[in-house]
Amino acid sequence: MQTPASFDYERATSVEGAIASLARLGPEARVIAGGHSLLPMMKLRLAQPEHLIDINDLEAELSYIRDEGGEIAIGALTRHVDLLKSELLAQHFPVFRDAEEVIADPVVRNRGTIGGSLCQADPAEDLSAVCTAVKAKAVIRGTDGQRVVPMDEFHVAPYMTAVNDGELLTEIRLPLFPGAGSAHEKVERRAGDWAIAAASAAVWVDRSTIHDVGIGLSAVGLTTVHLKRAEELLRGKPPSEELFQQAGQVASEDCSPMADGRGPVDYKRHLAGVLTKRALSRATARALKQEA
Amino acid sequence: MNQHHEVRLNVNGTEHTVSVPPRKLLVDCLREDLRLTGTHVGCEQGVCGACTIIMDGQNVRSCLMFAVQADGASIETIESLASGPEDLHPVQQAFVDCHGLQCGFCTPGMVLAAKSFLEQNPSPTDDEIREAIAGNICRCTGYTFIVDAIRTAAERMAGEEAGQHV
Amino acid sequence: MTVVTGTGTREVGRSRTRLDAREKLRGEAMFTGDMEVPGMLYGRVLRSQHPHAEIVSINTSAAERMPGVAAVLVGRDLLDIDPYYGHAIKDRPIIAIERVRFSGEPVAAVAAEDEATAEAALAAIEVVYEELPLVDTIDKALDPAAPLLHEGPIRPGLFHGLGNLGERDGNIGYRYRLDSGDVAGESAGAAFVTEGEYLFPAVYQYAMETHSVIADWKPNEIAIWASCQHPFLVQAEIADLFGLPIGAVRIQVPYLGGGFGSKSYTKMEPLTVALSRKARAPVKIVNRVDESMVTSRRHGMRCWMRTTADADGTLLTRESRFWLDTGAYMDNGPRVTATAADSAPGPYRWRAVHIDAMCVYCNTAPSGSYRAFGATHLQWVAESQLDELARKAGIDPLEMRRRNLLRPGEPVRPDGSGKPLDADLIGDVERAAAAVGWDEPKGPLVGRGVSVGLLAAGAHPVSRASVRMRADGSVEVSVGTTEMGQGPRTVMAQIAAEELGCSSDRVRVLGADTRFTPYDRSTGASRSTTLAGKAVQNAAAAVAAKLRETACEVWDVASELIELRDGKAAYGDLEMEFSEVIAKRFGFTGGEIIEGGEVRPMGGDTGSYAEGPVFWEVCVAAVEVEVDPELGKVNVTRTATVADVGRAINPLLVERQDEGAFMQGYGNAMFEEMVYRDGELINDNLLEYRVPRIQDLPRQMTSIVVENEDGPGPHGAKGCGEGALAAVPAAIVNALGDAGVPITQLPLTPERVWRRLQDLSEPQSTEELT
Repeated sequence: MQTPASFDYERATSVEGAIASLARLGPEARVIAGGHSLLPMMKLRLAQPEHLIDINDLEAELSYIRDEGGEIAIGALTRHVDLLKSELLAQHFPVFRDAEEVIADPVVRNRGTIGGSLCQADPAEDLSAVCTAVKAKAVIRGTDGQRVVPMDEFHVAPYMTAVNDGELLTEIRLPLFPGAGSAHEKVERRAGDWAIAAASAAVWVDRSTIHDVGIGLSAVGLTTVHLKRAEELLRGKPPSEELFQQAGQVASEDCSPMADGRGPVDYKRHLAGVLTKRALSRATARALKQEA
Repeated sequence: MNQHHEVRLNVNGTEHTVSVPPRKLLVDCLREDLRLTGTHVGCEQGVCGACTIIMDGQNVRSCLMFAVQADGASIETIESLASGPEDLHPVQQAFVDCHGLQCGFCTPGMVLAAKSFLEQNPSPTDDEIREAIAGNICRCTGYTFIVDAIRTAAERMAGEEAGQHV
Repeated sequence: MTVVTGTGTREVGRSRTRLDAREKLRGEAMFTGDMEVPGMLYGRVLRSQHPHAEIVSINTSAAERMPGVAAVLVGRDLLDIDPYYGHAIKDRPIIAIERVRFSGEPVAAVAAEDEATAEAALAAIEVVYEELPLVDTIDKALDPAAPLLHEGPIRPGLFHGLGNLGERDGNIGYRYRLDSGDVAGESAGAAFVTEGEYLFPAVYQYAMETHSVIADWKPNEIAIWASCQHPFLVQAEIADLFGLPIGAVRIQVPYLGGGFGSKSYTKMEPLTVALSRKARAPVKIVNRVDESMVTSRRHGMRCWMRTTADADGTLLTRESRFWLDTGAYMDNGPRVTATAADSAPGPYRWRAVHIDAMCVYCNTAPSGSYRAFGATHLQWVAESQLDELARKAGIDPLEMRRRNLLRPGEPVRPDGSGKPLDADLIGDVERAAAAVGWDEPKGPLVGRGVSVGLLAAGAHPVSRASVRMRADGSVEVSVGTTEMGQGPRTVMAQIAAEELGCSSDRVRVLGADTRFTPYDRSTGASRSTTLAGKAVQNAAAAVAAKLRETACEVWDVASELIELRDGKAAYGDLEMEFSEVIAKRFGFTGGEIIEGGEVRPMGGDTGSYAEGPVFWEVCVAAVEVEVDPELGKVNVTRTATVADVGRAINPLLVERQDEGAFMQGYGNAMFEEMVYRDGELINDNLLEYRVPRIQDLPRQMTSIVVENEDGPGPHGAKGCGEGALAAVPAAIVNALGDAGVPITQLPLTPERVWRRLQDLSEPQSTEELT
């Protein structure tokens, strides 16, 4: 039997209450949502929080996917299953459905949340790459109000985010621009595993030119890798397989994978390149179809 | 720390109040406090699905939840499925008829995964069935007879439905 | 898909639903971990984190003082007994004594009123170690300068069954050779030669239920409830360890949540008994997954092999040397080694064969049995060399096998000893090949492969059973076979019912309880239907004879005119219910008929068992793959496996078994691998030890049941459920070779396949492949 260390438990009844508790209890308090990353770590005593604030009752406040005109807002407690099934997301950012189809399994997706995934900040986690590609912003609330943080500033180190003690991630915002297409590509050792490597790409096409692009990689760096140099290369050019191949080359160079049980460095670099190329290709095909 | 909490659970239609420390897992609460040993402890890391239960209508891994988190919830375990002491639910009967089990360790979780899936999707394709049990590992079979069983259960239940409406 | 040749039976040959299905589906089936015994304590085990170290001191006083702790067991508690066990070689102490030889070895154990208390007490035990040089790989163990993991003379265990065990040679604990003909001379003029080095990973059986034991030690009797496959062998070993007569050890076996060999022979039972002895109370120990992963596993292997053929593809010679990593203790290593050697030649005609198999001690967790052991290790190596020769000779791999495969009746062992071939292998492999579209056109990155092998099956042929008919005509079969999912209870009921002329619904089959159940050697080696089934058949036939005897007396007719059918004795129009027959027999509405049945190596109607092995289990598969060369991903698109079972007592159960063996072989080939770093198992959980999920499996899997009634079991049956495991990795490797990616190391991770493709695309390395 695997038993976590002892802790105190509190069930939040409002976002405000949860934030007040977090502020009061300080660094030894952790938020629990789906718990599907936190519990295994607690069982292995890799995490030993003294207080758990359970936010699962806050669905009315924190579980939604809505079009707010100019952007899509996703509540932090939105479950994977809702991201998978959302037609609104599939219409604007099919990259979410691509990723959700290969995240773990249906039972995990019933419980796990987007906020939990982003805050766990596992470098191999898929949604962080997706959010990086689509240029998402994270809304973080504390006792003094809220702040909005772009994805680049959200992940500060492995398993560490911009969410400070006494703060709660409440919402993810996805800006909407015309001509969007997006896709997620992943290679794993077994169905539902963490990625050996994964690539998310979003492109915004304007009159057969790549107007803007976002690329995020999972599992090939200390945190989610944002491929700025590859984006630079693509911006303003007409899409082509050759161009995507070059972007893939840049991806292989710019990622910084570490060897682990899922694969060695050279193979991960290679995958980063191939998957970037494939994700860009599919994203662009989707954008052009939208445009047409 | 570790102060016990009174937790109210509706398990298989019966109200229970148990006193548990926060770190007690839901699966251990079901097995130890309520002596419902049909829910199995497998990998303990949320991969195998042997501990699958239905909570408020949804499949949940009871090894990845604390009992305190289930306070106020409605839980179905494998022991609840059949209506009488001799009966089998149509999903269970289909598993019998299709030989959809061997050692039986994954079976309760597999059956519950199938049951709540079929409630949401009464006429699934084989692809949908496969996806529905993607989080339940069976080490004895090659899964094909489990898929057969779930498909058979769906067909039979659809037949019953149709029969009732005629 | 079922190819049926046998007929004329009423119960046998029908896919009866499982007798245990209802209990298991309702959540009522009890596994050891579900059980409670009055006054029971909970045990937890402190395991060494060092793979090789002296134990300088153990301080348990703080743990002993903790509230709720009943006892703490360490090596010095066993000074009054001979604490070493091992069914093959007595090399393992119940708990570490002075030295630890693998990371995970039990060093202390705590019994407490609940698991959390026991777990907390483990943290309060202080152990001081002094590290010893690490011998964590086969290569290090074979170094002449390596420290020896075991010294002193070999002490044979109670059941090695291998004749002379020989002496240890350094860290080589057991060696087995097969020698026939002059390899150098016969291969001198060979037209085609292939030679290579191969690596096979250590893998874990991953039964979903971990090893679980409840033990209740009393001075004159030990009671055990255990998830064990071979209760009678465990009973004898426990009796031997704790100085009791065999009958004073009672083992009851509830349902097992899978076994696959991981629960073969003695595992956690001695430690649990010793802890109960110290605590003077019943103790339950249920392993976590990481603990079970260091309790049993399959041997990793390094292998060298060379095979030659003449210009028309006729095979000439095969040589192989291989080393199996048995870990810190032998467990079933010797038998695995011998079986692997038996599988190395493959079912072919050879001019000369030289096989040298070595079982090597290392500072890793002990290795034992895992479904199709030995054959799984060697078949993929042997069969990939056959394909390589076929490619060099320009012969279709299927044709290569037609030319060289043994025919029924030909000797299997190169020296001509043992049982000759008892199966139609050419027919089997042709069926499998056809099922994956062998002759259909295929694309450039598609490959197809077949594989053929044999597994020495049956273990030692000693089984007993009893059949008891009660006054109401209901029947109980008592047989020691463990129900771990493979379905023996259902099969035994069908065998008994067939003999008695009644429906299997009327038959109950009881689980093993060594106090009452007749002896059965073991549940493994595909032996239950063939051997225990034969004992059940014999016992049921003896009960049937008694029924006939009474019916003859009543009707005054010759016994051969009496028919038993539909639960009645019948003669022409006359009929008597079985209950009536029993009432007539005893002149009373009570009484019973109880008879035994036996299978043993010599004498009676069991003569063929003496030749050994009991039968050759067929290992045949065919596979089609597709490769994504950019990612290195192998997509297995079509598969076929053959269950050549002589006679299927229950065809659906046969298909389930075959498919299950397929799935494990597929896992072994594609995903599974125990990863060690400096002697420590680093992927000791289901997240990182990758058992296949449904979405990993091929979409088209065919199981072909072949019934030629050529087995030694009831109705011409022979065992099944292992062959596919050995055959599948070999067929996948051959299909991949056909697609242009010959591989010499398992599992086939995307990275490994990608790297192989990189190597092949470099010009300098293509030479060595031609």
